[in-house]
Amino acid sequence: MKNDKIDPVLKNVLDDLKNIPPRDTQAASRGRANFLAQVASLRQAVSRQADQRHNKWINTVFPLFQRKERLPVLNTLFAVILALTVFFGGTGGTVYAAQGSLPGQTLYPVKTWSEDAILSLTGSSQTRLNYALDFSDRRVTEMASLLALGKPIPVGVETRLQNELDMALELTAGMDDSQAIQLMSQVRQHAENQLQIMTSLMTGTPGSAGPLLLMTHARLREQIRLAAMGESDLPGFRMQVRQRFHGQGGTGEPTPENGNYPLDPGPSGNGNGNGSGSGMNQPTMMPGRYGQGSQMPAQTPQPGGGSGKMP
Amino acid sequence: MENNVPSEPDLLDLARKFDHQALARIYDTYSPGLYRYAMRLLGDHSQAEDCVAETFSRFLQALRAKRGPDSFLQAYLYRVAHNWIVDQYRRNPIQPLELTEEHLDEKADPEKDAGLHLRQERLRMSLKKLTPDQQQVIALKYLEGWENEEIAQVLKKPLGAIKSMQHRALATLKRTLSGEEFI
Repeated sequence: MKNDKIDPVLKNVLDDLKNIPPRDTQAASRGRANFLAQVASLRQAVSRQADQRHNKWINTVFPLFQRKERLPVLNTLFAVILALTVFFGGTGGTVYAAQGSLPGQTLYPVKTWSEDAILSLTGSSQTRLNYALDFSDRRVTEMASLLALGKPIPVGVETRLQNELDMALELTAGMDDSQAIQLMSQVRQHAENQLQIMTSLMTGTPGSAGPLLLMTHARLREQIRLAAMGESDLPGFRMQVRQRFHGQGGTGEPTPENGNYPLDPGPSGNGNGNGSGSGMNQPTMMPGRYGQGSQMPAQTPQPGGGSGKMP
Repeated sequence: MENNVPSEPDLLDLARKFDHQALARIYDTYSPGLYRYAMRLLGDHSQAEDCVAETFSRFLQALRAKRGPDSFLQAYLYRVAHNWIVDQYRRNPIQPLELTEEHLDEKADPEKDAGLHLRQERLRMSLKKLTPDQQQVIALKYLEGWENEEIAQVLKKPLGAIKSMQHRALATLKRTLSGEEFI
């Protein structure tokens, strides 16, 4: 009983409004791409869930200051703590504020510097992998945000993304078998999500950003292929990664005997053309094979080891 | 059809975590209908696209602020869309009818197209004279074909109120259109 109690003449009049022209497919695609770019942008900004916040320290530290009587020596101590807090808090605040910045903004070099510093200071391969994956998500989000704002994507962003994807592969290849297989799906899932965003961006982006997005799209597909290979054929995956980053035929790099893979041949040993600079006039401290402070090439490097060809 | 289509509560749960696939699925599911709804009421494709974009943007902002719907996502989205449309009505008061070349399809019968366009515009003008709730009842029921129960969820009103609103809206609409010798 959808049209109950309605005058047939009135119903005919209302039916006229049902007759509308079909939606413009390009406008629809643009709308979808903008929406997904907004999703990517907001996802990065969403804070941790309440139960994931690091708030245990409040319960530990706060009671220390709940004394009724206060010792005189504490006044001096408080002054020192306050001074240190202001000094380091200022620096920390800048780094914190930089995390939401986009390429081309003043604080963006601070953001990339802090990422490089984190990677340099992290010892555990698994933690570094997590950081590399998170940072690669950031790069994709940055691309989406820039496009949503109608700004061009600097080549350096794509270069950093490539480096982070490469790092994820190398780190996974260097882990022992069980850990590598376990984390391989994580690498693949990140790349799949990134590819989906990239696909929607490509749909809604005309003109100048096309080639860069196309290159990133191809690289992400390659990442998915390699990670999927790693899940089913770990030795084959290690071989591919070795060839990819250390050149066909090798340059005398050691062969892993127990599944472990050398991760740090140094900046001059691999000849892959992947510098670590961002292309945005900022110093880089990428650890491992990227070498500290190495310069970024003028053109976007093509992965492919010593052969200089895409595998 | 995929076998593992998440239920609406699961989808909303994932959406609150800004899951890309869940939000893409929500967009793909509801965006065509919202566009159609806005286009019918506004009669302008770029405004209709704006309406869809703004509706989903407000949805994302609500999720970010830990608000947004816990259920009846479709009802929520149409409510947001209709609020936006009503705002447009307020910003752009009723304009005199005007027929331009863009309203005419070269391939079709120009006379027929012009007639349809004029009838549509008159009807939109008459709908604008209803209250926002009445507009939404008429649009959802007679243009989109929704059931009264679904409309009640959008307007957050009891079923009886929807029925009486529908009755009053139709009477007003008929009176308005008769006054203009439209029916």
